[in-house]
Amino acid sequence: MSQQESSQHTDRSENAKSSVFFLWTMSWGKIISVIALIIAMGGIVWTGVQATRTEDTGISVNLSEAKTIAEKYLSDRGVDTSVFVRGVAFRQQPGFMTKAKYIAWFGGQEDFTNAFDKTGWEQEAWTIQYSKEESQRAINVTVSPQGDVVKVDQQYPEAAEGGNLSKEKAREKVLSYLESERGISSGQITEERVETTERENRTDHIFTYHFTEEDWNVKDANLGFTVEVEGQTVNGFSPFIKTPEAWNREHLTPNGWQIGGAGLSLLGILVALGVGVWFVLSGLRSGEFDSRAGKWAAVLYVAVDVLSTLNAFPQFWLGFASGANTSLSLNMFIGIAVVGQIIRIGFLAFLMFVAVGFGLGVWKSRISPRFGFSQLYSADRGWNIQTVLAWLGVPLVIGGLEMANGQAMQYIADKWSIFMPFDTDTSLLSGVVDTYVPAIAPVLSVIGLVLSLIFTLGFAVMLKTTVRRWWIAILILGALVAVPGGTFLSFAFPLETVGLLIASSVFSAVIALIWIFGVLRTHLLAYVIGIAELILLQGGLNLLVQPDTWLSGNGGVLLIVLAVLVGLGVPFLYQRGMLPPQTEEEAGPKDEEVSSE
Amino acid sequence: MSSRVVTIVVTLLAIGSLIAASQWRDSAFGIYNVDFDVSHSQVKEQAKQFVEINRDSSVSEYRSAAKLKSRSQVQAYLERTLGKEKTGVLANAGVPIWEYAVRFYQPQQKEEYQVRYTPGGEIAGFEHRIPEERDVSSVSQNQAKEQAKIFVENQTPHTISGQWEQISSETDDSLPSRTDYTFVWERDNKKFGNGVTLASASERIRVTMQEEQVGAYRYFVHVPEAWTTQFENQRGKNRIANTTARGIVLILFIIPAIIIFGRGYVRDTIRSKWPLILGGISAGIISLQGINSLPLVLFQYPTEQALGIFIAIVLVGALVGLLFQVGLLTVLTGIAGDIQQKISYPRLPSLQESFSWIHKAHVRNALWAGSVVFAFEIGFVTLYYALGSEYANFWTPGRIATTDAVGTYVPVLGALATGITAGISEEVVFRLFGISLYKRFLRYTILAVVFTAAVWAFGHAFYPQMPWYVRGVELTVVGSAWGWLYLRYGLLASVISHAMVNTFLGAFALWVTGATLNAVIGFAFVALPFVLWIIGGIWYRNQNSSESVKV
Repeated sequence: MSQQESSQHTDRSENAKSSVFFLWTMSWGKIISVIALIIAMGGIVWTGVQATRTEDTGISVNLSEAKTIAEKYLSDRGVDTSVFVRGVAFRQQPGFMTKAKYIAWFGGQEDFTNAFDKTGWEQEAWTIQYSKEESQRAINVTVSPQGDVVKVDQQYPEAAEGGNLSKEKAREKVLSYLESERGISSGQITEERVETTERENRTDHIFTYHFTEEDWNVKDANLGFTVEVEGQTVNGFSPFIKTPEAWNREHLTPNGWQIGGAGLSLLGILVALGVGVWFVLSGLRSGEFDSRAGKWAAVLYVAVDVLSTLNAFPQFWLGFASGANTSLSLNMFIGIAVVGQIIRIGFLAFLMFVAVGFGLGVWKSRISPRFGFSQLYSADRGWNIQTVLAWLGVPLVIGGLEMANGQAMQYIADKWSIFMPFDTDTSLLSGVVDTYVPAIAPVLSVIGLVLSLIFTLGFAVMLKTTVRRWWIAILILGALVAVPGGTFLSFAFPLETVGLLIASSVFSAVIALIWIFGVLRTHLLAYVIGIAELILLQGGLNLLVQPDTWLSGNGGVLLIVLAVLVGLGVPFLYQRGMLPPQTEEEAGPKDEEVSSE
Repeated sequence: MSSRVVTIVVTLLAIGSLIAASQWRDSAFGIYNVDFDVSHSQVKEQAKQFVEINRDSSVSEYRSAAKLKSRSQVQAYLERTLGKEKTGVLANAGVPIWEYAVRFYQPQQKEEYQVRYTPGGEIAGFEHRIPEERDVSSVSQNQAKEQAKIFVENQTPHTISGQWEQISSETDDSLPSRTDYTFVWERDNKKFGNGVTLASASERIRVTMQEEQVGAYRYFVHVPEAWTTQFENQRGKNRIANTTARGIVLILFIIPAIIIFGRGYVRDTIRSKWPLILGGISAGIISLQGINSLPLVLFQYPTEQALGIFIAIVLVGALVGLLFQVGLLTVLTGIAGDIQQKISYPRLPSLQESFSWIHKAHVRNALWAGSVVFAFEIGFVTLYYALGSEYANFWTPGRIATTDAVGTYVPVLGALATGITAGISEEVVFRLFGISLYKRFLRYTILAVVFTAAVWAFGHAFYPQMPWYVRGVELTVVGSAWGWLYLRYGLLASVISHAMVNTFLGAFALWVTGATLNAVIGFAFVALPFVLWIIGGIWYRNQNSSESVKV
């Protein structure tokens, strides 16, 4: 090692040792750290209280209850579900965003909630789909988070038998069905559309109604529903909200400014991608690519992804019912799906190999060969409470800053009457609650995320240590900051809304960048803990606040696991000697060599 | 036998192969003798007149776009149920299997017109889209039905009576200022020319009335759902083969190429000049073709958007796609292939050496070999389908004597773009890189050639040919031949042969459409390597003789 390199390394080591973290906690000491942590914890508890869901707003039925409800509904109507392939998911209803945007735009959150309560057309709901191989027969039952069957859609082969009803007889049957099963009287509605189709062995009718009372509508949007009669039976009920065509045409496609902004964002992505490739190649050439770590990361990722896919198996069969897939035999569908999954996982594993091999390689070579356990505990000094608090607290502070960002945005929107989109009650739970064990889903996704984000860290290391010219660094950082802004441009919001969203996302990007560059002065472990903590906290809290016991229990377990992992797991591993060296003496000859020089 | 005699004999055999292919063409592919009474440009004028007469309004202020549309499901049903001969009879009798669609639109305006014609010039569809708040003189459902029948009788070759049975009706009262009515009629067992029927399919006519005026008319063939289900099930095998092949390309070709590129970068063994040149050529041609095909793309233009924005989105999307396709496929695998070839086949000419002056022996050889293999392949493919459809139940959709390419600014550019870009990128990935890489793992060259050819071939399994393996087997043979060419004469030979095959098919489609000048340009391009071989030979001889004189 040259004299210069030695001195740089010593500087970094010293830096890493003396600095607990990059924020003010670093110099202002223990008291500030504790205060910051208390404030952040308060913020989290407050957010948790705010987020608490009641029976009306949260998820009251879990996956297995939703399946039972759907099956009972169908068996009460003489459908034998045992002959079907069943897929289940908790997901946003098709076309939701369009309707939500219109209602939120003109009515705000209250009208929005009322409208969806009235139609029973939940934004996120359980979709239970039944399909048959090599057949067009399919059933789709939508169960609300509260356990009501809000929508049923049945598909029959065109040649299936079913009998014939005249239009008038079918209408009578529909009105009676609405009264008895949906509590809708004929005085509340107006028939606006009827379609009759005479098939080979039956006659089908589709009736469309809208509610006539004023308070059922939001501005010019009509709340309505269709009822389907196949042969002699009422088989389908689908509520909907119809928004005016002229508004749809004007507001559902992005305008020139938005496309221009998206182009700018795309440019940012390409610049960031190009710089990323350049950095990886530079890392490779300088021998800093840690291929061993990359291989382990790829193996870990494959294991996690396979586990994650198996955990989400209830959703797997939904793919069978889409498009022309039911024309396939079940074995053929499985064949196509398995091949597709192998390709997907294989490719992502390669990306993880590159991300971690590069990120960890340059980190170890340019910042510190150690992960940073010694910052938490050392044999001679015991626990470094300041570090522990800072490492746990800083991600919470970051989260707090994000919340403040959201609050400020809402304040500006309210003050200047700018339309802002808002989260729905059950946002973020799709893909989590519809797994066998919901608590596992965020854990698995956090592993994938942490692995891929190690690339970001490597990127930051390279930026800090390679790019000497300030204007190049500014350009690259500008490109990185421009990237998230484009996310919002696909929605055709008014320009001031887009501006606010971009400002907010740029603020978030800047916070993230400060955090990442702060991490460069400390240790990798702080970053990993931070990311994991933020995501698991959010995932755990989202589950914990749900009224269903199984889901809230999963949330609780997740938070306990998080606490155990961070609070007990690391010291336990350390005490068992299963972690890399912690003290300078144990750190090995490299550090000794540096010190001696 | 001297090498000159061998060259002459093989060249003559290759020409014979092309002649034989032209003889077997019909039995191999079934080229429909469908009478195209209207051309791509004539149909626009015809549609304009139709709208102006029927709507009593001018569309001269409107922009227009035209496209040839194929109803592939109907074609597959008729061919597989009745055979190509009877399908041809039905197409000539006006059954809509192929249609010209003409659209008149204005940016950011919902109101627009669409008119469809059969190749014989009969109207097959009409649509007048109007805003939902548009008010139209009100009529009852029965009056609307009568108006619909009158429209069908006066404006189309059909009359709603006798055999036509009404199977569906719809009344739509949801619109603010009018009621729309839709009626569907069906006719079974109609006997067309020579008593040919539609088997279990039926003809349907759907008319939507916007109160008293016709909003939409459609004449179409309804294929039985049970048949479609069974057909899609059979197509599932094509999907599996295609998905698997594409997965193999990603995992076993692209990822290793990235790794080898990375290693080459570390060891400083990268030679990027020719991969970049080849990538640049592909990128240039694809970009030109993107602009060239704008008239066809505009058919899909959503009028909610400003036209400029739509074009910008299309161009930016194409540019990003280009970056990845050319950057990843041609340049990256080209660099990795060049490194790998040096290890596996050090005696083969490098990329730089491959692309050189035409008087040089290896270039002349590549030009000649690429040309003759092209001719043999055209012969082989034709024979393969001719015998396969006769003895092994092969099915490949019949072709028609027109192509949508005539709707572009420069029709021949499409054929050239397909030829050159596929020739370069696929030969670089599967021959230069693939064979060189898998020679190391599979040990035997023959295994490497067949494996890479098969992966490339089954990546084409989504094509309509059936049974599922037909296209894969055909192209495995073709790809193996290109593999042999590559190993014997270098990459230039296989690129030339591949580009010639693809360009020839495009040019041939233009020829049968009647776009003679464009077709001739395409054929001239196909003949170019052979001509260059002759010129290169003369140049070589002149140079040699002048050198002998000097001596």
